[in-house]
Amino acid sequence: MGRAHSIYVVADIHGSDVCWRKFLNAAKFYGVDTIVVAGDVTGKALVPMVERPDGRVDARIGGRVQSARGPDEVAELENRIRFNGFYPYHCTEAQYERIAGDEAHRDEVFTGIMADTLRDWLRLADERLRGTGIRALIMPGNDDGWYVDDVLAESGEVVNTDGRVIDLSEFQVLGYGPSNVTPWHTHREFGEGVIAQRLGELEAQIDPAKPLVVVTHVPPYASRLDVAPKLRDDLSIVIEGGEPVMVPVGSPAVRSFLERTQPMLSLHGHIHESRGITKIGRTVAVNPGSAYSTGALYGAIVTIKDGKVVSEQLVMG
Amino acid sequence: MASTSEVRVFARQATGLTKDIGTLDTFIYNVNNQNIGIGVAFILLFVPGFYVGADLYQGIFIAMFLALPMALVYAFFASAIPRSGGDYVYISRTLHPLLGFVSSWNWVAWMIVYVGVPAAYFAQYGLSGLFRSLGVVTGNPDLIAFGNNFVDPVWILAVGTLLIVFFASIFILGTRIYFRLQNVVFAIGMIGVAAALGLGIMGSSADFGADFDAYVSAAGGVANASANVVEPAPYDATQTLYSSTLALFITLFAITSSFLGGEVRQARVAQFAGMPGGVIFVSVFMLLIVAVVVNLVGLPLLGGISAQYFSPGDGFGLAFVPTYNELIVMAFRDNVLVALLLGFTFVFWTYVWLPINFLASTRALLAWSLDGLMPRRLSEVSEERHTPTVAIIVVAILAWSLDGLMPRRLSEVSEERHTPTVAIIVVAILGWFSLFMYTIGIGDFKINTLYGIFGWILSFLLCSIAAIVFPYKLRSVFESSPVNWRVAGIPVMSIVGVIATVALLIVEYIWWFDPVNGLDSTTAVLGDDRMKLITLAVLASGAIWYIVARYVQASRGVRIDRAFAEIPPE
Repeated sequence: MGRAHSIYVVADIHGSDVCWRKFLNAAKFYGVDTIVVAGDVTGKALVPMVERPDGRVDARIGGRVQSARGPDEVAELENRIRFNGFYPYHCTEAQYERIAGDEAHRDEVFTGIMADTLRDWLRLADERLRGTGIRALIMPGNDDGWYVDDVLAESGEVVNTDGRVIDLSEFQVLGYGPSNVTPWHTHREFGEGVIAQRLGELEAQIDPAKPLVVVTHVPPYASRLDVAPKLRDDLSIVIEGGEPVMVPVGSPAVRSFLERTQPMLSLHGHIHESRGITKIGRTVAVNPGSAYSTGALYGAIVTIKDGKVVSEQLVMG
Repeated sequence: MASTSEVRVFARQATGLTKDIGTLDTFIYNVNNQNIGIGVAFILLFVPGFYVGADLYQGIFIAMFLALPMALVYAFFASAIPRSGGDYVYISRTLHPLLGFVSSWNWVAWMIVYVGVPAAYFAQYGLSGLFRSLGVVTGNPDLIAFGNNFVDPVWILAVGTLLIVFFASIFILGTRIYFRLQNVVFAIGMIGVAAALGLGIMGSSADFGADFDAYVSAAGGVANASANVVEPAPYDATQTLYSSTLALFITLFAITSSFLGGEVRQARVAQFAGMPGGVIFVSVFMLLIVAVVVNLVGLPLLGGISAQYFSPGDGFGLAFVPTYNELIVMAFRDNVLVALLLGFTFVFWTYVWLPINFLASTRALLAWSLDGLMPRRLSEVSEERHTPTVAIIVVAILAWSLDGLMPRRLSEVSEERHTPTVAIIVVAILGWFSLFMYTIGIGDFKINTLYGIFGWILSFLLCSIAAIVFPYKLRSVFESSPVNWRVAGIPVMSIVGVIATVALLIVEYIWWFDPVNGLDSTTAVLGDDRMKLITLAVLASGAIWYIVARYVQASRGVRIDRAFAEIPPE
């Protein structure tokens, strides 16, 4: 009889500073051994904080322009921006005009800020996790640029699980971050054939004698963990009877892989509104969901023992 | 510097940046649940005869003003934490998980009651009037007799059972079918109330007495039925206040869009227009139709009709008194088109709450299951889950009675249709029991239409109290939300929470002392305090359930109280 081992998983924190800080404290708070981000760590929006000639700083938050004066108010404004998972960008009016008019420059600034923020996060992770024995597994998802791998590699405490099988003594972890094709044409997305092929390659590295945890950002198709609003070509949501029409958007290749390999546990993300726990054959499959913009860290705690899942719980930290 | 004066946010190419659910969709969702048709019908069926001296219009105004602060509270929450999906989370996160669960439990208990009750309305108020009016205008006594059957409790039970089975089947097949139907049904219902408004204006009030007599006589009633009048009594403010229960029954439920979740991305605009806007729209619509019907029929005759609601055979010789749409049909003698239009469209208002409460109850059961408030095996999935067979029903019932907690497979969801089959069946069975208690009852005990509202409002009260606390307890969430408004340094959300709490305490006062529908009046009707005890028992059982579930889960190493506990970020 081995000892119980607890895993805490979140996904899709998308640049939320408060969610990241909560994530790092989660191991102690919940008393778990391993913490996992199942993809999508970087944010989606850059919020310019434009400094006016009179010293006022303007930024658009919550659909309206809010102003701040003096260091305290500016810091408060910046905190509000970070809280929503957005990146503040301090700039002059001239700098603002340049990023507004020059898309290439905007992308460069945006990527630089995302990378720097992630570095800050990892520094904090290294400080808080060093010597604790807590394992932190972070995986990029489809919304994370390829530069994220290089930044993650700079950390001494965080392990990037994307495209790898990692042996953690009690069990092994197979990670795969890219998603299937989305309407947004994001950084890491492939057709089902490519996903199936890559998962097949990783399968060859699995030790069949050891319990397996699979972490794929995209959930298995038609698993209830992958239900998202149906979209039209213009990305508007299809509404019927006043409610959004929900459809499965997960990956058939991931489903097929799980059905074939039957790991004890599979962890996913990607579809924020499809939070849940289900089973794919013998595999307990989890999507912790996400509400990063509200500051609530949606997660799941899974306890495993002797190669089996003994309990699982969705939490809202 | 024109470009910098705007100050934009720059979004990169990323998943999930979709266009919003519109304000109109949110608005329609809330208007639909408020049920204009039943609201007007009940106000006219009960206020003129049972609330002596009450002012019909003031009662509606009172209901609107008392419901508005609560609608604002839910709009604030839906804007501040749009992804959370309703007051279960608002209260759990702001006050305490136990209170959040008790509130949600209370919601579900009364929602299930109002799965069964509107199933009864379908026959009792919908089909009865439709067939009788068609029988009268076509001169077909068989249709009249057929219509009269639908006020017989056994017929109501039978038809209501079929309706519950119908919706359970629809939901098992998938909610998309329902939502497609609902679009059409809502449009039909609105056409009906608009037609009632227009035709009511066109009808002749001068000839109405004669029209009424002819109709009642043709329906098998007495001659000269319009002589059954009750002259309006002098204005009575207390009775007016009590009469607002009928309109509150409608306006308190303009908050369903708070459950829509994160898809309402322009939440501030959409939810504020959808919830408080929905209350105002429905109140104004009800006022207009009531005014038109009062003008057409006259208050004395409406008083007479209302006064004989429970004894329609005595004064009118009818099986049941007419609702407002049947009254308007009378003004257009022998006009089959009008009878069909008003009768048919009104049917679609009668059961509106059934599917809405059915779905909401099912979702709540699933949410509890996911939060560990059910035995862990609830989440187990078996190969047979695709088939909602008799075996599943037996399992559900047995598990319910033996387990003492909940059917073990409540949270199972069909992979093909994404429908929680067992949860749907459980809600259907409980909803049917409510229908049975409304129509047949056990011994001398039956559920009256409005008895459950006092208990239900307790959940709204908890949510309003949570709104007071929210800006202080979850300060960072509030400050970063689009509704972080302050007046004199005090969060507007807290101020609105205080106003809503006071308004709902007034509502509870009304719902306690109203001599017709109040909870206190049930003691006289039933001869004991059963209804009060049931109201209390619902809350107590929720608390006990939570505590037992917490104990059971703790034995497995799962701590339920951490499901909503906030992790300190520092």
